[in-house]
Amino acid sequence: MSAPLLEVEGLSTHFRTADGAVKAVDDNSFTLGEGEVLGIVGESGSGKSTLLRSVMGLIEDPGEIVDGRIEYRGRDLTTMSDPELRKLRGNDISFVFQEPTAHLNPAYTVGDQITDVLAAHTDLSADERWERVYDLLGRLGIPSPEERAESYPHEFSGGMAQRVCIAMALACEPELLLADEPTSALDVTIQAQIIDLLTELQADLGLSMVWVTHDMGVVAETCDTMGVMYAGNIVEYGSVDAVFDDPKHPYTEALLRTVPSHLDTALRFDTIEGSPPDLGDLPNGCVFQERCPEAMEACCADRPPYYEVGGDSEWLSKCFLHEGEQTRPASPSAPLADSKTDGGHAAEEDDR
Amino acid sequence: MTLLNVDGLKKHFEVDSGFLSGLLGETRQLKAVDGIDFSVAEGEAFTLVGESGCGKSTAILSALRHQQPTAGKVRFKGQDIATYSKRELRGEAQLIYQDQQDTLNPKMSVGEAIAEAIRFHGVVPDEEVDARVDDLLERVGISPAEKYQEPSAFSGGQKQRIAIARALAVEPSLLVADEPVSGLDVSVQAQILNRLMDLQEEFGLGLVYVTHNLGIARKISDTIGVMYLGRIVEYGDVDDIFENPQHPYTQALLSANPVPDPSVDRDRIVLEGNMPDPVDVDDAGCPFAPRCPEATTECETAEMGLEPFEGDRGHLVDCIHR
Repeated sequence: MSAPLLEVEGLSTHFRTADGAVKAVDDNSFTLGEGEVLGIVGESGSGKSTLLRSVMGLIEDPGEIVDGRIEYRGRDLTTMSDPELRKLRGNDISFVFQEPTAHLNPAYTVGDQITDVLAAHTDLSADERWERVYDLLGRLGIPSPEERAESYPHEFSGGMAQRVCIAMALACEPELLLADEPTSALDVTIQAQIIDLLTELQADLGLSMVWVTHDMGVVAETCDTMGVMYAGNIVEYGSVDAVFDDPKHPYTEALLRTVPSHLDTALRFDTIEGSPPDLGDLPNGCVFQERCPEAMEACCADRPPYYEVGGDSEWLSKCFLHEGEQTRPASPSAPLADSKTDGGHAAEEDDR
Repeated sequence: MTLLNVDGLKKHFEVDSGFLSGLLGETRQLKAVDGIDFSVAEGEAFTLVGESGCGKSTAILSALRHQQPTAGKVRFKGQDIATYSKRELRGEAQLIYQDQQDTLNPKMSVGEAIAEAIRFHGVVPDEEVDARVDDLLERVGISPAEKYQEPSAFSGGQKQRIAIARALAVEPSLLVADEPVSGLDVSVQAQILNRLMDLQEEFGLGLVYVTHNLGIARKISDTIGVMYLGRIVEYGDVDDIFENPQHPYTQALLSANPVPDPSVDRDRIVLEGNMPDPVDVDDAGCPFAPRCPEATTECETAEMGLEPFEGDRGHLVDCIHR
């Protein structure tokens, strides 16, 4: 694999509360190669959105990134100054959210909003900015872009408003798009339109994407690699084909069985008994132990590290079932410095 | 026995069309439900599937007289549903909604909420009410020891179980569930739906289920009706329709639904545009024609209606090209 565009190692984001820390994201590692689409999938409250917001630098008090590093082209985002971050966001990294209308200003036309972004991040003249807007809206399948640029957000349907948000996100030709449930508020037939559009744009522009979703179907259809999140932990990370074909972590295995597919003719639903643990009161050891059919004594004592599974250094599973396999130094106590020099420098050299 | 029989049900809403049209006495009709038929027998599960705004929730609310229908005949156990008193009807047909937050009294313990329903409908003598509450809670997987708690002490999934227990408390013959698990995570959904299917079988209940989730529809239903813009466009046995969909909308809907298996290679039919606003729909022709990949000029004027597909009276399609 070429040097990763984004490398997250040992990332933990906690929220301070009166009752102690809520560990929304706890010791997570993954990498994203150039032109790759990574799906982060999990149930609600698993921390997938917090993980993405951590990468975006959008964690606000009482939340805090307490550990780990987020390297974008070898530069650690967690230590970057605000002006540096702002420059990066918009230019190189941009976002798409679940509720398009919540992220558009209702008082300005969409054309004004997109030209604002262009004015802030590019040297284009006013005329050129408007040309770019028409071009973008057209490219996103919005009919008569010159007229629609004059419309206000409320004049768009949900699917069309999401197209506008994607147009805005792509305005400055970013390398990395971070998308938080971009199609979850949309109906199936509209979701299909947006999935097609994003997949097409991603391939055309060579975009890299992190796509957060609760929908295994969306992951299967759009992503190259995936991370499965449970109770603040990415418990398994690997290629979509491999993980779906032969899930290594018991939670991944259970979750894949549970998702109802309309092609599945079985009469009953597969279940995972119980419910996820309280993130403010996580058990010692593995976060999935209480619901895991494979739980052993060791699972209650220590949090399992990432094991490299399937003979592949890019397929990781946090489970003691893989005892004996190579582990990855991902826990905060492990010597991070070593892996940092490896990944970091390689990426920088590639850059030049 | 047929429990619920719906024939030509319509529910139109008058919409505000602006000051000037108001002065001129012009009104516009939003046709949320525009002539649908379906029936549910004892022990049978019928599902209305469709995207948001297709009228599926309005259809069941009007059928059960939670809203006054604009037109159509609804029979319950062979008798005009309008002749039932509210209390009689609630004793026969119970509704479960998506968000139980709104339907459980926050200041009443869940045990008391269930007991109240039992007493109101006089299901069992007073001295047996407590035992019945415990039994119901156990059946839905809630420990009877927790019955003294208020709803806020329970998770979303538990509240939904409690709602099912309360619905069953009056010993209805029909259960109507409107997206009862769509706010819940898949692992919790699965537990509740299995429970619901078991109880339905055990009590021989009729079930009308409303959902946009095709994976759930496949497992929970015997028959389904696919709704688009206020009409059922395809109706029949669930496996028949999922394996051999005939209406172009059903075909597109099924093909657009993501499948959790990357090894399945599928040709997706991606529809153009959105479902139009039900206010702007022409009476004439097929409402799906503007988005339909197979539409011809005949579709704009054709007389529409569900017809048996290839002579099969169990599989009905509303498309002139079939």
